[in-house]
Amino acid sequence: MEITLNQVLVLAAAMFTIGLYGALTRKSIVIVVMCVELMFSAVNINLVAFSFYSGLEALRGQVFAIFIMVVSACELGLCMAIAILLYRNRETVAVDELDVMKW
Amino acid sequence: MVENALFYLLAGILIFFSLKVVTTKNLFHSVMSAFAVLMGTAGVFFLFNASFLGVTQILVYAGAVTILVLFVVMLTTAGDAYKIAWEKAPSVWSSIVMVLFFGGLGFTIVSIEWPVGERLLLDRTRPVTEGLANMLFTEYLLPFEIASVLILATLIGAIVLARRD
Repeated sequence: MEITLNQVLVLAAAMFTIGLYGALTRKSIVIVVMCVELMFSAVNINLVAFSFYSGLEALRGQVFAIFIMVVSACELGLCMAIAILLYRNRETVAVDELDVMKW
Repeated sequence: MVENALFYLLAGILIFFSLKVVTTKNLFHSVMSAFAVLMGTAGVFFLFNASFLGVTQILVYAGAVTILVLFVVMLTTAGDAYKIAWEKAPSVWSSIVMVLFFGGLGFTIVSIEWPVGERLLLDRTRPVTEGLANMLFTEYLLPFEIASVLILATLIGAIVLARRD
């Protein structure tokens, strides 16, 4: 009895769903960004699992996971800078109070 | 089998702490749970013989991301208006929608016959990092350079955004 690809994919799908749920329902912009990181992690688990089970092109998935990690780290850094900026200008980081672009 | 037990343990940790991230009211606890999830992800990487990725995950997410996010949490809860615990409990309807979404996703995954090749990475003595480096610096050299330009742009952008002027 070995770990099958389906088990890993379902685990990653569960993590992705929970991350999406958090990104849509949490109030603090910091936690929203952290939930997006959770979704990135779920995608990386998928890529690593596919590369583990795929045979000849075994490492391609891991290279893609490296690039995803770079992009997610950049995204998080910028979002944290935006959170600091918002707190300084509006004194809040609650996403439901940040409605300046709503018309 | 030991790998099965490890996988189920990691899966349990990942699901439990993911749910903790989205349900707890305390922002600090939420970020620490997210840290546990990211470390569990590194464990899954090690389990699937992606040792370089696992180490990178630990370095980037333990050494950089969690500390940065904790700093931002503490800085943005410093005023009177927002204490560290001000998240609301999740509503029933959003939970139902989430379960339906997961059901659809899981059904799709289970119903597809995924093509599985020969598992070369099952051999744990196989040098993964060397192969990664070969691929990264030959075939994926242009994306690699573009990624470094992206990091530089992010660095400058973050400084410009957060600077007091």
